[in-house]
Amino acid sequence: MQPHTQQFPKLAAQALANPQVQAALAGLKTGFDQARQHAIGEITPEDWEHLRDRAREIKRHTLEHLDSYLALLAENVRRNGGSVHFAKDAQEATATVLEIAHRNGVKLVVKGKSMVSEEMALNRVLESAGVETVETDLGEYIIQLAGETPFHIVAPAIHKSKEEVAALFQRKLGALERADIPSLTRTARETLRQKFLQADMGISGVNFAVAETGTVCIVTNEGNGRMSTSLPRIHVAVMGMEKVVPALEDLGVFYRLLPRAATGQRATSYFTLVSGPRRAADEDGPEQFHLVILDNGRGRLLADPDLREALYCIRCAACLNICPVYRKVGGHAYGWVYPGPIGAVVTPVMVGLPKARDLPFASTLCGACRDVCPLKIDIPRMLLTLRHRVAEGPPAQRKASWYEGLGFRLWGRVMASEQAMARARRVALFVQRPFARGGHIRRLHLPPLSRWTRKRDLPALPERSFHEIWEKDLRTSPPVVPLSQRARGTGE
Amino acid sequence: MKQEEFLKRVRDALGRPEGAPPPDYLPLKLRREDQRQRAVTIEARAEAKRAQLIARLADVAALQGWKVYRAPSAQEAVGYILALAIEKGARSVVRSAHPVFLRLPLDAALRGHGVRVSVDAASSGASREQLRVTVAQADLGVTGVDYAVAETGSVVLAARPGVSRRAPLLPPVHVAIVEPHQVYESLDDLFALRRMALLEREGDMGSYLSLISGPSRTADIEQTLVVGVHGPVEVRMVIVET
Ligand code: SF4
Repeated sequence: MQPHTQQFPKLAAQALANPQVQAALAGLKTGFDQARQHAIGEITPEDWEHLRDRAREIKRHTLEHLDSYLALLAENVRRNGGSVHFAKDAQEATATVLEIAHRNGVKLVVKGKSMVSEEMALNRVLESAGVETVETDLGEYIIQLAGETPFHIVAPAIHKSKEEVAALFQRKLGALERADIPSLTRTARETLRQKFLQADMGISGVNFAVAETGTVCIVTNEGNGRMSTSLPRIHVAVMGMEKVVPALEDLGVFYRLLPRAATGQRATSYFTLVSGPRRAADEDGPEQFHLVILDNGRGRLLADPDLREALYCIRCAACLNICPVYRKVGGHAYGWVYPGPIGAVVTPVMVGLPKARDLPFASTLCGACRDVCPLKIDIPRMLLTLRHRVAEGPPAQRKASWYEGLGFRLWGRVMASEQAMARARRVALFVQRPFARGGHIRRLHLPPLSRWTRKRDLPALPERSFHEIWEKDLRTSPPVVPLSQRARGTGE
Repeated sequence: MKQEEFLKRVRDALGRPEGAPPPDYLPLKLRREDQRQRAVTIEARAEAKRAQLIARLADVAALQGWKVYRAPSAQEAVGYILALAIEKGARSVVRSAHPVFLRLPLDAALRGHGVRVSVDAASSGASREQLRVTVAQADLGVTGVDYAVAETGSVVLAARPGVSRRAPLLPPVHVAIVEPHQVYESLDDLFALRRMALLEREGDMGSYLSLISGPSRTADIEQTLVVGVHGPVEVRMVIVET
């Protein structure tokens, strides 16, 4: 997928001005996030913390030995009768899939949900090579029909109202009898059922890949994952290289974390483990199994001790649902595959910091993402690291304008001296007088300051500073003598 | 890209030399004897609290969206499935060739009521293409299971001759028949037992393992829950308590 991460401010403004998108986003906290809290509430806090720590430890260990575990995974996939393909970037990965499709005369592909395939822009490439490619996750299907990209990692079409979906189905699939949500779902079921039965190839993502057994694991609720990996004669699974876990028994940890964090479920309807193609004695299943393992910028995260933790992510989207910025600007503003707090970390590394320098700033650093993350990924810390890199980068790539830099330098001077601070306060009080009403400045006319008040009020500087209030009204104990002025060596 | 090249890139990113010692990871080190010991312990624990586990399975499964029926006998299980077939107006039922059906005279009961019963297995003599069409058109899919997990209200089906992937997936109603000795406490038990199977079968654990924990569902439009997107609209768990 071509990044348009440079357009963050414009796309964010569009989302903010769209009432439909705002209404959908408002539902995330009451929907997904409350479900998450409820599901976690069912087990003891100690158990939950234990799972999180255990998962972190597994990820840390696995990434530290990633080369060994990938080799083990590949060996076992082959032992199971499957093929393994390594791809350094999206182009290589798509070329591989295309080659498998061509070699086998594939005409119709059914796809399960896969964020990695979004990185690869796989649908577009297959379609333009004349291979019909159909998304089968309901949300993905909707956005495919609409020609859009996913708005959310778990619920890709969450920004669309049922009326929009109905209009879309009407346009693309023909007459609809009814436009309520169950009927729309049934329409999709009937259309896609035919595709499942006719498809030559199923493409799935991978939630976890078990090195020890050469198994790929797919977590779904709809059952489209099971359909696409069971019915067509070829199954191609695409995964980011960080998805590997060492042992079968590690799944107990991750499969307890993911459904709870993602959708507030103790288990999803389906958890499907695929270990190679059908064996001779099996009743059904694909004749070929291919695993495509993709780097596509992950190596840069791996090599970066400050950012490696971002590879622990299991794509549950809990951090999106809680983020005050994502819940306003939505998924499309981030301009690439991964939105929200985790997107603000991985996108700049994967597409290049100069192209995505706005993203690390799309955060209030409130820390809610880190708190909800099942892997306890320290997203705010990494955002600060990236901000630092933007600020220290070549001048052309710096975020701040010259006047912002100047402003902060002045601010630094003033803050360092009590007298300067008091003087600045007096000046500011005088200057704000014509603008302040009822404790707020509602509108400034002078750019660039006017940009601040376009969408929000600026609290006016109060008549009395905290310092004054403290000294005159609140202090009950004698003033503390600064260390530098205390007599030395007396030991009190 | 060649595997060796790719792995070298990974090693370079990690700053790891080639031929570094293999990782030291406990769950991978348990050999067959140790794993067998664990399996024995798990079996014994499950055996000791079977009644409790079955009750828990029934409760959690209901929360997960199963309709659960605890059948006091095989006869009553058959009666329940027959009544369900009649209620659904089913004309065609598919079942797997799981050994549980040797103990459950389902075919005769259904046929006695004019319902067509097909077995989705090569051993039935039908061609693969025929079987696929039959399953796709069936009103009811009835299968045995390999395990049931109380913690998550799941049934688990492993690849084995006579058990297809599609029989529990394509028909609008899936009936899973659970026997008491298949019920385990947790996901951990399940994966430990599967690892045992892996070590016993020279590293091949079969082509798939499918955990089913409720009906096919989605909330992709306006976060509104709808059941029966692609897989079964309705799932029934029949626990045969003999
Ligand atoms: S960063 Fe954490 S919370 Fe966000 S999607 Fe990844 S695992 Fe989930």
